[in-house]
Amino acid sequence: MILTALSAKSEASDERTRLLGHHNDWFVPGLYKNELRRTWSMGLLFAIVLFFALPVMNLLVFSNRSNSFEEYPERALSYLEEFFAVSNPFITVFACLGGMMCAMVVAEYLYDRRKMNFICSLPVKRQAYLVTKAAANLTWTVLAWLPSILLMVLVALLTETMRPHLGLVFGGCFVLLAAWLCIHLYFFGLTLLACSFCGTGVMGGCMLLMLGGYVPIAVVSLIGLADMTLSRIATDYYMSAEFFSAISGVFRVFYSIAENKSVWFLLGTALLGLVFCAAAVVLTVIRQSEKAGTPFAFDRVRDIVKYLLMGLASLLGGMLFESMSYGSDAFTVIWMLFGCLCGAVLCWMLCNTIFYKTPKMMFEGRRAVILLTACMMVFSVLARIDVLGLDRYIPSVVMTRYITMEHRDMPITIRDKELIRMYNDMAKNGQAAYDACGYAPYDIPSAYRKAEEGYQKAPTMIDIGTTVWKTNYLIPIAKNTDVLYSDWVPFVTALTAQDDFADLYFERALDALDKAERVSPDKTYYTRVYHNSSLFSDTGLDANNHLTAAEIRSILEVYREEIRAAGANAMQKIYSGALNIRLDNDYFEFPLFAEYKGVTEKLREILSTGNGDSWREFNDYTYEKTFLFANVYYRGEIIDRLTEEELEDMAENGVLSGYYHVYDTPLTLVDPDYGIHIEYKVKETQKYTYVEYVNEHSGVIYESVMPDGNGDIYATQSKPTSNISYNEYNETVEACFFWGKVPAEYQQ
Amino acid sequence: MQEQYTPMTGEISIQNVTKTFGHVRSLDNVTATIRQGSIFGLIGSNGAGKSTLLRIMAGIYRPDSGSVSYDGEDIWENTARKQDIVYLSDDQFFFNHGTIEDMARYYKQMYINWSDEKYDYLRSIFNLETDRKIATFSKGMQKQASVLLALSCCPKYLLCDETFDGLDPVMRQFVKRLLAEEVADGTMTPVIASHNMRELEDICDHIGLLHKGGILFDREVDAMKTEIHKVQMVLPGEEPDLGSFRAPNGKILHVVSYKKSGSVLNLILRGEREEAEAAVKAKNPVFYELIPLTLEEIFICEMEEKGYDFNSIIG
Repeated sequence: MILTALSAKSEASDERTRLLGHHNDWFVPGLYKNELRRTWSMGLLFAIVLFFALPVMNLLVFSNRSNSFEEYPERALSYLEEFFAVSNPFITVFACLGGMMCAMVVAEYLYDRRKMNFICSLPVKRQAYLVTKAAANLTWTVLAWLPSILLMVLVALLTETMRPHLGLVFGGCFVLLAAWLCIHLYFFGLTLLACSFCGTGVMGGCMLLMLGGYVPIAVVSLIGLADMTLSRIATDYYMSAEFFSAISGVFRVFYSIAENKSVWFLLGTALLGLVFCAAAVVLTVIRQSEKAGTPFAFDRVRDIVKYLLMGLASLLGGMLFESMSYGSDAFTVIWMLFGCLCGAVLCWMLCNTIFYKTPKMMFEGRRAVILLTACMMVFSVLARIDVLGLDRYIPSVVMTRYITMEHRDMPITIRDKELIRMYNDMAKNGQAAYDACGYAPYDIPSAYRKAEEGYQKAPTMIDIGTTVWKTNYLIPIAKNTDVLYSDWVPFVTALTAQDDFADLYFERALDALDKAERVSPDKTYYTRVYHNSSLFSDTGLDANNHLTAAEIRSILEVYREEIRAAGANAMQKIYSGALNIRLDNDYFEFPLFAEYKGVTEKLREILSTGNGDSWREFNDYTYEKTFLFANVYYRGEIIDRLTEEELEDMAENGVLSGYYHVYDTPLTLVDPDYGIHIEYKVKETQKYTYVEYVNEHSGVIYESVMPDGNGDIYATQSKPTSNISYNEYNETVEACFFWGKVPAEYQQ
Repeated sequence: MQEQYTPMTGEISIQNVTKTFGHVRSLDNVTATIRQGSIFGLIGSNGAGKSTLLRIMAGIYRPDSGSVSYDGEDIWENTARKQDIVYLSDDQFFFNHGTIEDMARYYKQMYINWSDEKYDYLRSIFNLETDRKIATFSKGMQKQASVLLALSCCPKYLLCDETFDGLDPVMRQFVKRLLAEEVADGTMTPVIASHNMRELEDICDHIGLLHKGGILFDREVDAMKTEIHKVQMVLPGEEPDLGSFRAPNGKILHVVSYKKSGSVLNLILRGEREEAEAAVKAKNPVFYELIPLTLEEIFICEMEEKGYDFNSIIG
């Protein structure tokens, strides 16, 4: 009775008042206040970090430099750029973490069955609860600006001397605050969306990874597959940050940290965050309350995630097993299929166990896994045999907007229509040669690369551009100067395409060998065909200095015969492992002998007594044998020397070629990794000429000097690779330069 | 905007409610009506579906099929109707580090009918420290806190899931008395789920027995008690014919169970008390006595009549 009376009294006094301010379907004021009370610490954290990271830091640095700003106003702009460069990454990462943290706090009730039951029993609509909680959290995010803004306004009002540039410098703070808010909103929405799919916090985190990272990971896997199976596809482009930023919003946000964010980008990011939030609200409304505490709120999503992961695992399993297997194609394909099967099945069992939270469900859904595994196996095989012809694809001239090349990380873009047409013709000719003779074509660019300037256009590949570039620039340079550059590329090109250049090359190569006689009469040297200007000592021959010239010639002849025999079909031999000579200090392996009985005891002795440096060969480099003993200088005399005819013969038979391009084709193109080292422009303000090297011994000294005549040496080291640093530009240089004058201070 | 709130007075109608969790059918086509102003006891063994039914009635779970309506209005996402319903879980949620005061503030923001006066009154008689963290309370104290908060919301319908578990006998009786007062005033209709029939016997006026997702039995307690009687009697002669217990109006009373222990016969007869007494007297017994049945005994009889083994149902 007492209770009833009290209730009646209360209703009479309060009901009207409370009804007036009560909640609607989307917002609950009381809950909002409650949430604000419970999450104030997060707002404080944001406020403190932003306060010290932006205005305070800005103010400190600015106050130290403001005098110079008076004198040189343009320095303020420069300072602003520096400020952005430092603060952008920090703000982006902070916004990302903050957004995810806020969303986790908002969504936590979705994981707690007890709380979920409580919330759902309250007279509040589900969407109202989520929206109100999200609004309370975002309110703190916005309010976190206040201390920063207040400080800036105070400084502007109180400091006279700094006022002229405050707008400019503190403008940077405002921009970053806005950026922080937008990116925060993006990750908040993304996380909320991920959480609304799941019924446990851990699974929510996994789902966030799935939403944010699955596509890039899947793309990386597919690129990996392409890299393994399609020899000519330019996977480097697809591994670039630009590419990933185009396919992944998360990557795009992070990729943009190095850039000054545009207003539209930021607004778009924020808008996308809101869209994610809206989707999360929809999902929260339709998800069943009883799913709190279970890994997934929607069974269908669980299956989708499971099969997506299984597909990826199958792909990666296939790639892993194929990469570990050796032998014939059929053998590796079988291993690849086995890997597909293992990946899919293991992932299936693991997912089932985790998603159903019991190992009893490990084998749930057998039919689906059989189907999916079969599909992935078929897909892997089809990709491996390049059923779509990606490796043969040559973009048309019309479709080619421009050509990009890289030489030692240095980008070169060619937009000249004639050059583009030339590349295209070469590519087609190469492909035609392949189609006619059945050999693998040389490195014809085939991947369809999406240019950043036009997705419907097809730029081209690296290699073909490199070749034409060299043909048009390097060979003329070689012809018109008194230097010989030893890179094998123009040599091979010359052999096959430009006879006059070949003559020039041979002439200088033989001169180089003559010079060697004067260098060290007690040593054995050999030259490689494509490194004809380089002399390599051979400890094996040195150790066997009792050999007669005739004996050495016979050994060389045997060896060359082996190579010629193998060279007719070099690729198959190389990759089957038949040509495998390996000699380490404590490890000998001569499978070559098993196949080629003609190798003599003498050669065996040489191999085993030398230090093996010149003989150390591996599968991929076996064809390097072809370059050995082009000229041999032994005990003060030239024992053996290839004639021009022999060299040409080797080139025409495909025995002679460069790294990675042992293809028997009319034209042998270049490997971009062994590209231009003579002269190039990095930027307008930077121009290098790499000049001299000293060939005293096998340890070769390389130098680089500035071309402006002052002769400054920027880098010197005795390894084939050196780093040259100038104006913050770093470039790796390979050991192939002009044969010419050595700077005085390095002459010995 | 939210639906217009108007206080409810009508009955709860559960119509063909089915709920499945994965491969487990928790409720199977359950139909029941809970009259306004009654105390409805929902009994059943563990896993019978009591909590599920209560959660559906509270609008927490959405039934796969069927509906639960209050005053003719479906409860699902109906915030106006939910204003009159408070669900007391067997494992009630409280905020981390929250005190009773914190929870009271929260409830007050949610429920239009929240009464500060009632809250103050109940707080004084429950004698709980309202500024102490609820997490530090014992299980029984947490139950008291949840009852305190629930009653302060002045609900028209109170859905209690094993609410008396954990309360000491004194507090249990006290809570029952509070509920009974509310019902007596016609302001509240409690629905109490429990697996313990003795718990409900002295408070419920209507009982539903839930078993394997279906309601086996749904009767008023008073009606059950007046319709069935236990008789102990000693007859001078031979055992009577079980079909010969006739009321004065000629109606044959059904003998639900019959057991002989020495010369004493134990019968359970279905029929009005007067009819049963008259039928027994007609046998000229040496001695007879009509003994009231406990709710449990009545259920056993009822269920055995329906072919169920009651012990296996209640466990």
